[in-house]
Formats: sequence, structure tokens, C-alpha cells
Amino acid sequence: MTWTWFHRLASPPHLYRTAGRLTPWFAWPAALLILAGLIGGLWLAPPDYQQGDAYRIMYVHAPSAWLSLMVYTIMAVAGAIGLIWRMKAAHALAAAAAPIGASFTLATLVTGSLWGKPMWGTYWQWDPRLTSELLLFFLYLGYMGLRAAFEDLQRADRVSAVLAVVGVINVPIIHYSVVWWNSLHQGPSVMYLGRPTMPPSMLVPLLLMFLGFTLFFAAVVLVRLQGEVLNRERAARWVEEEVGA
Amino acid sequence: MTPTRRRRLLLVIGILAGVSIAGGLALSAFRQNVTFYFVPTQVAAGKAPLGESFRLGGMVAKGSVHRTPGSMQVRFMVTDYKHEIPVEYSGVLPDLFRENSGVIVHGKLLPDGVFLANQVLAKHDQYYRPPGIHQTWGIQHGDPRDPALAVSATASTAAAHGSSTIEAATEYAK
Amino acid sequence: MMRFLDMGGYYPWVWPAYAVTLGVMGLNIYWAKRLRERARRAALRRLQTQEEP
Repeated sequence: MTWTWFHRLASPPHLYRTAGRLTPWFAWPAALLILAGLIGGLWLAPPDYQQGDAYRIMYVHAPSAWLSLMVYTIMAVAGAIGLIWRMKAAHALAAAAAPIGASFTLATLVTGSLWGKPMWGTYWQWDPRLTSELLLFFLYLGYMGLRAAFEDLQRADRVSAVLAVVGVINVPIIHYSVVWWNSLHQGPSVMYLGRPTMPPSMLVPLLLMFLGFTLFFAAVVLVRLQGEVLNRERAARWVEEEVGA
Repeated sequence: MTPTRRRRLLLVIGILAGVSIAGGLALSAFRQNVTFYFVPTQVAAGKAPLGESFRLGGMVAKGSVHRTPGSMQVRFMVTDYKHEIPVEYSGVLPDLFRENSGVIVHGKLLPDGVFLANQVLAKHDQYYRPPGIHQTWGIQHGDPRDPALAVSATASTAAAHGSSTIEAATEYAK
Repeated sequence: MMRFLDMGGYYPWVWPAYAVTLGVMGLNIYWAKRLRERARRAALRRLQTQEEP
């Protein structure tokens, strides 16, 4: 196996240009998928026999929750790679991803709360799933706060990466919290594609949303990555070629 | 890999291992001590803190809901299909409060064995389908296999309790 | 149309949930572009100050 692609990715100009070239390839499919998911979820999917139309909150809540976990995992892996191989590009990726993950974690908490009030009868309970997701939000805030606390980018990269790696333990806890403990929150619906828990008319819009949100993250993180790469480059000639003129 | 990289890799693995162990210990402590709600079997076994407020979870037994006309007063049985506990509550019920559906009530167990609730929360499952259609995707709602009930007073591990719930379910289905 | 907007009576929960999520998406796009733009300008400034001496 050849590692040239990996080393080329680590080269800032190559990374900057690749990120710029790839962005539209993620952004447009994301826009189309989310639009289709919105139409499918809000209009075409039938109401639920128990929850009526309130269950439609799932179409924004579940994909947001998925992003909140996926993004943190990406940050932890990137942070570990950055720590071990001293790879600036990996640190840049983690730094670029954090605010996106934090915002979708907040969206998860708020939409969950808006779903919980009419269905469960409460906005918030100190339930294992809800509490661990709130902890994830604080981990994101801690990560960003830690980064902001260091003047020196390299030290910020390293210290925050340790937090990202350590905090990743919370990700499986969130996912399995509804299995391990008594919880107000129901079990996972889509994770078992082998035996889907809803008919195709409800499932297809949800899957479109999952894919759409994931591609949306990819597009946004690439734009942020370009910014992070530029901030890490001190007066290299390629920067002049890219942003000069 | 160069020696320094190997050292850094070992360091990161070491941190991960340490955190996993700490996390694992915290989890097992959690599993024993932190319970969001108790099921009737646990209450019957004396595992719930009877002197103080706690949460009771289970299914609303079929045909057990009695409303006092002209008031917010409601009585129902919470069951895990092994034990039942009568619950009294006065107040607004969530939209999803139904018979044969998951419920979590917060309150105190009175000496006469009645659970006096000050809050009633509905617990729904992860199964969705259109109204009027009875084809099932996954497990039917209201079924004792409902994960709202996927708790067992005696279960020591998640895996064991999963299978014991299914067994209980097949017993019930007979 | 009114039936759609009413969401079976759950409109006070459904629409805010969608608004919050789409708002978060919009903000993400805006913040990402702003970060890249600021980084570009900062890089340009660094290049110019280096050329002077």
C-alpha cells in the first residue's frame, strides 16, 4: 500500500486546493437530499399511529444527533493522528469540525426538547441519554474554549487534541445509554437496518436526511478547513498564488 | 515508524487505555447506583428507595385507567407483566398516555401500597407506522417485548437482560 | 394547506424544531465562509507586511 496520497493530503497547498475543489461536490447533493428529505418527511410520509405529526421532528432530530456523534468521533481520530504523526492537517480538520459538531449538538438538544414536551410531557429530564448528550455539548465547548485559550496554534492543537481523544469515551456511552440503563428515551430506530422499525414511506425520508446532513457537514468542514489551513501557513509562496492577485 | 513516533503512539494508546478503564469503572458504578426509574418487580423486591420519591416505570395495564368524573384525578396500574402497582395522579397527562403504553411516574409509594404520583411522563418506543395499518415493522408497540419494558430487576448484564425480556415476552404471548 | 401547517395540532413543536435546525445549517454556512474569508485577508496582510522591508 502506498501512502503518497496521505502525505500529499498533509501538504497545505494540496489540501487547500483539494478542499476547495471538493466542496461543491458535497454541497449540491447535500442541498438536494435535504430538500427531498424535507418534502418526504413533512409532506409525503404518513403521520404516526401513536404520535401523529409530532414524530416528524425525528427528521431533523435524529440526523442532528447522528452528526453530533460522528463529528466528535472524527475530531478524536484526527486529534490522535495529529498527536502521533505531528500532522498539522489533522489538527486543522479537528479544529474545523468542532463548531459544526457543537452547533448540531445544540440542535439535537433543542429539537429533542421540543419533541419531548408534547410526547413525553417534559422538556427535560436528567435521564442517561439526555444527560450524556448534554455532556457532549460541554465537551465541544471545552474543546473550543481550550483552543481559544492558547496563543500558540501548535500548543492549542496538541492540548485540545488530548481532550478530543479522552472525551470520545462519551460517544459509545451516548449511543448505548438507552440500552444499558432505564431511560425515558426510546431505543435506536435506524441503527438496525436489518429490521427497520418503520415502513419505507417513513424510513426513506429519514435516510435521505441522514445522508444529506452528512454531506452538509463534509461541505462546511471543507470550507472551514481551507480557513484553518491558511491560518497555519506563514507566508508561503502558494498562499500568494491562491489568495493574492 | 521512528522511535519518537512509536513513543507518541504508545502515549496516546496509554491515555486511551487509562480513560477506558476509568470510564468502564464509572460505568459499572453507574449501572449499580444510578437508575432513572424502577420497574414494579424491582419495587416488589424492595430495591426502590421506599422512604423517598423515586420514579416508577412500566406499562399502563390494559383496562386499568379510571378517571374520576369532573376532576383531574386518575388511577391506573403500572405493570411489567410480573408485578403491578396502583398509581394515583391528579393533573395533566401527556398526549401519549394510553393503556398498554410505556409510562414513567415520579412520586412516593404510600404505606398502603399505592404510588402517589406528582408527575406522569409517557415513554414511547422506536417503532413508527401509519394509523390503521397493522403490518408491523420490527416489534409491535404495546407488546411486552416493547423496549419500554426492556428492563429487568434481576438482569446483571445488558445481554442477559435482553434475552430474559424476550423469554418473558414469549411466555406472555402463549 | 392549513392542515399541513397545523401539523395535527403539533405546530408549536414541529415548526420551531425545523426552524432551529435549518437556522443552525444557515449559520454554519455563514460562519464557515466568514472564517475562510478572514483567513484569506489575514494571509494577504502577512504577505504584504513581509514584502515591505
